[in-house]
Amino acid sequence: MNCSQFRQFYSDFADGFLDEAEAADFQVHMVECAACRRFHDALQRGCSALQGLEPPAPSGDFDSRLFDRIMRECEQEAPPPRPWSRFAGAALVVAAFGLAAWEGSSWTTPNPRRPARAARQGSNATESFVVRFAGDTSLRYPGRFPVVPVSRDTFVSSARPAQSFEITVDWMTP
Amino acid sequence: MTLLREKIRQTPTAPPSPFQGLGDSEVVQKFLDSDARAFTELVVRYQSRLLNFVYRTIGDRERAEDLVQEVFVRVYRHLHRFDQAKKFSTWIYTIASNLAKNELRNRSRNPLVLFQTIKKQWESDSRPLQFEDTSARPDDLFRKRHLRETVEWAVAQLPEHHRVVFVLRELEGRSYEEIADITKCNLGTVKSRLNRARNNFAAVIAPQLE
Repeated sequence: MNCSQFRQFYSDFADGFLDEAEAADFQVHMVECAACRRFHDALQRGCSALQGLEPPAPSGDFDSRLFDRIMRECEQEAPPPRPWSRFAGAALVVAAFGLAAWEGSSWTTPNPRRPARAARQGSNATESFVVRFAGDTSLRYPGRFPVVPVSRDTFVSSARPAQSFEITVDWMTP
Repeated sequence: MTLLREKIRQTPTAPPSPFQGLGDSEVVQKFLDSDARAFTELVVRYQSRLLNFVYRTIGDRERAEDLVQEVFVRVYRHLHRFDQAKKFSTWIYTIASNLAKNELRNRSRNPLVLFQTIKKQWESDSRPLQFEDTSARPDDLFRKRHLRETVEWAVAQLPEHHRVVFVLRELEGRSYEEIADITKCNLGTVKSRLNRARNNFAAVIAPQLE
């Protein structure tokens, strides 16, 4: 083995991809060649020092800045409504916020049998959705009210500031 | 999405993560199932590692932090597109690697001397001795600091595409296959870049270590 071959195939040797005989050739060459021995030692020491470098710690406000940024981006990138569903979207929003406001003011224990006021006030509904309070499982509130389907979406109300909740509208088979 | 935002808003004061012991893919699935706390767990798992990787690649700590933030924003935005048959860590490192490469490319187009670089050197030269570890001997301290600076400098001397591969292998301990996935190169290219990077690194650092 000469120095050129040693350098050319060094990574195979360093990463253990060689069989015993080939690795032995590298070892023998390092015994015979001071320059390649220095090369190997320098690399080992340098990499070891690199691994020993103290990793930079994220700054104290890293998390808060990140979450603020994500929230800003989410707000900026709210998907535009589909043209065919403008009317339906409005109906759904009215229904969902109506229900949220009603629930926010009166909700003590989830009651699946209680009819949703939004449903009764309803819109020109043609299909059914499941409306549920998401978040903690115990707060899920299944109920149906008829509205025109729009898309899967969520709404949040601050009516219960200590415990924000969400209404998830899922597609249902008509 | 709204609930996710609400939960994320509450995250900094949230109780300890319930995701300890779960693999990345399970945490990703939880996030896709609308458990926003899973995103926080991913941030906790990867922020330091990514910061180290990006910092070693671009050599600017503050900018590295900005880029890591961008990585997480992209993860949040595009996680639903992530192919779960693949490793999450490879995916997130790919994003980080691409951002780091773009940063280096932009910098080479618009070269400027970073004040931070000057400041860093100034700080390391003039750091008061009372802040040092007094249990170590001054010559040991000097040698350690010299070695650290030499290594950082030697890494910074590597060409960009060599540096990324070198850092992924030597610092992150990634396999050739993972590096190929992250850098979108074939295995042969990874191998040859790594070998060249090692040769360059050794050539730069050897005289400094003698």
